[in-house]
Amino acid sequence: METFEDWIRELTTSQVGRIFWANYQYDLRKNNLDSEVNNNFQISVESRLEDSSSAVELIDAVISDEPNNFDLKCSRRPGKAEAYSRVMEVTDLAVYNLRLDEVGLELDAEVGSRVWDKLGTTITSYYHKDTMKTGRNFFWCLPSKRLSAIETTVEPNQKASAVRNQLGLYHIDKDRRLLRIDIPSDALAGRVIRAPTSLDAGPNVVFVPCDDDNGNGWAINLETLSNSVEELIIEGLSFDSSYTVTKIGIVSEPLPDLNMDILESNALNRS
Amino acid sequence: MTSPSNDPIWSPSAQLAWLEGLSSENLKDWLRRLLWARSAYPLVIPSQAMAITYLADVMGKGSPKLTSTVREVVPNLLQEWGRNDPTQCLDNLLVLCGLLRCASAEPIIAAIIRERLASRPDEIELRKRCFSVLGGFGCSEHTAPLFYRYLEDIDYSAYCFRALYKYDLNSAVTTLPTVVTVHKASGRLEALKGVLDFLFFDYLNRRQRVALWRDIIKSTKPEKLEEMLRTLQSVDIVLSAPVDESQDIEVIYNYSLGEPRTAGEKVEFKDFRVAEVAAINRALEDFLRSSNRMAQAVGAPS
Repeated sequence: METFEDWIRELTTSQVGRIFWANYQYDLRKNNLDSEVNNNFQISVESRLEDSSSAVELIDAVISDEPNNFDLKCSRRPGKAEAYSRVMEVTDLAVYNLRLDEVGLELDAEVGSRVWDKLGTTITSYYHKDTMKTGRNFFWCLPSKRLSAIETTVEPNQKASAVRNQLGLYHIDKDRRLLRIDIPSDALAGRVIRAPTSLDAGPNVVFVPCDDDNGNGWAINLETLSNSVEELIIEGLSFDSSYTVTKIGIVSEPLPDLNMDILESNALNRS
Repeated sequence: MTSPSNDPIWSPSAQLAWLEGLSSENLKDWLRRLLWARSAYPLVIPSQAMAITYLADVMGKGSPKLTSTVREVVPNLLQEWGRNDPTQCLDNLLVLCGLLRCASAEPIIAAIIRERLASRPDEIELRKRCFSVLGGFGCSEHTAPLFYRYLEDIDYSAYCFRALYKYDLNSAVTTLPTVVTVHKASGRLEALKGVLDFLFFDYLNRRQRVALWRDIIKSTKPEKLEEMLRTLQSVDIVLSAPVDESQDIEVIYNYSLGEPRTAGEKVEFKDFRVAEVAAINRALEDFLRSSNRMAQAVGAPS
């Protein structure tokens, strides 16, 4: 690959690449991303063409190396302040956001189930630590009222599966334990909250960019592959005892089969 | 390394199939690139996931052959990590070791604790991670000296205490007073409560709890025992207040610390359920009668 056009050509030889490119073009067309971000992206891609073996790999390299240029750049933001919640797998919380050193809880394959069993009793908000984020310095969330609505409209033993499916969490398989983390309103003061763009999502097939009038993004329902509930991203927040963590449940259903052709068709034909 | 179709692989099941097809050397190369260069290609990591725990989950569902290969390769990569490499890289390796039970990494992790980490704040965090993974493997005759060595360091005390009592419950008799003292001196009483909740109310059954308390009472000097009990009382591990026996709570040890001690004052073990208290008390009274030291501890004439 020698030019940006070469990169696009190679990128769009794969279905994952075509979906990413269609989503990115949509973000530009709808002014979710401005021309400066686009220019920076092109420059950054071109500067790495010699080093990269794959067009898709290069996307990850660009967005992870330059968070200031490409994270949380959507021009749309939610029009009104409201309460937000994050859905998180318990092992992630145990490994990255709890001071298990203080109780001496060992890190092994059962750490998630041990924390799950003791959450709210021995393991309290006292043990929260570090930053609420993913591998990048932001995390995905949805309005708390939407999450509550999902939780209250299904049978208790179906809650976790319903939340997983409606939030498009295709990396959460059967038997995983899901937590709800309610973000305290104080923590959001002055923080960046945006609808996610294709650059926030990276080369992920289960993502839809939006031009929602209210400034929200939308998750994809894993069962219908259509838009499901509002989703937003928030810059990394200090995770302290003011956050409320509650159990949603254990995912009881296997992942639905995702039809990539439908996902690609939806991305290419989005108006 | 590419996928057969040269397409990036996004579904967890296809990712597992791809990993299953790698040779040991190729898996090692791919993991090295993931950990040192942060590239999972051709695998696509979901944007909402934490890469390492996600991949550990994917690999954890693999065949015995993949599991065996991973458990051989990850410790080798851990051996490659040097002080000039990114600390995040070591943390990720340790998380993989823990979640995927790479027990052959034990001597390497022990060496990292002893030799490759100093006392910078980020290195203390990494040493904690090392201890958490070693604790997951279980303390052994090789690592027990290391756990004993760091028991009195508040940063690692809880890990060391738990690993040692799981290795040999009798060790709690001598290590509990140390752990209580270390936590009290550091003002970490909330954490101490968690540590002891896990020991008394999660790890031990009723019979073991009573037996452990007896051994602690027998082998701890009276003044130290009293101080320790006061500390444990302050975090509700030991209750001194009269308990309404109809309440469905557990009382491990009832010692009237709040009141002036009187000659012959009784010490009670209660470990609810109510119906079984009498038997425990009878056993305890037998014990108290045979323990001159305990009688001194509660103010009885010797």
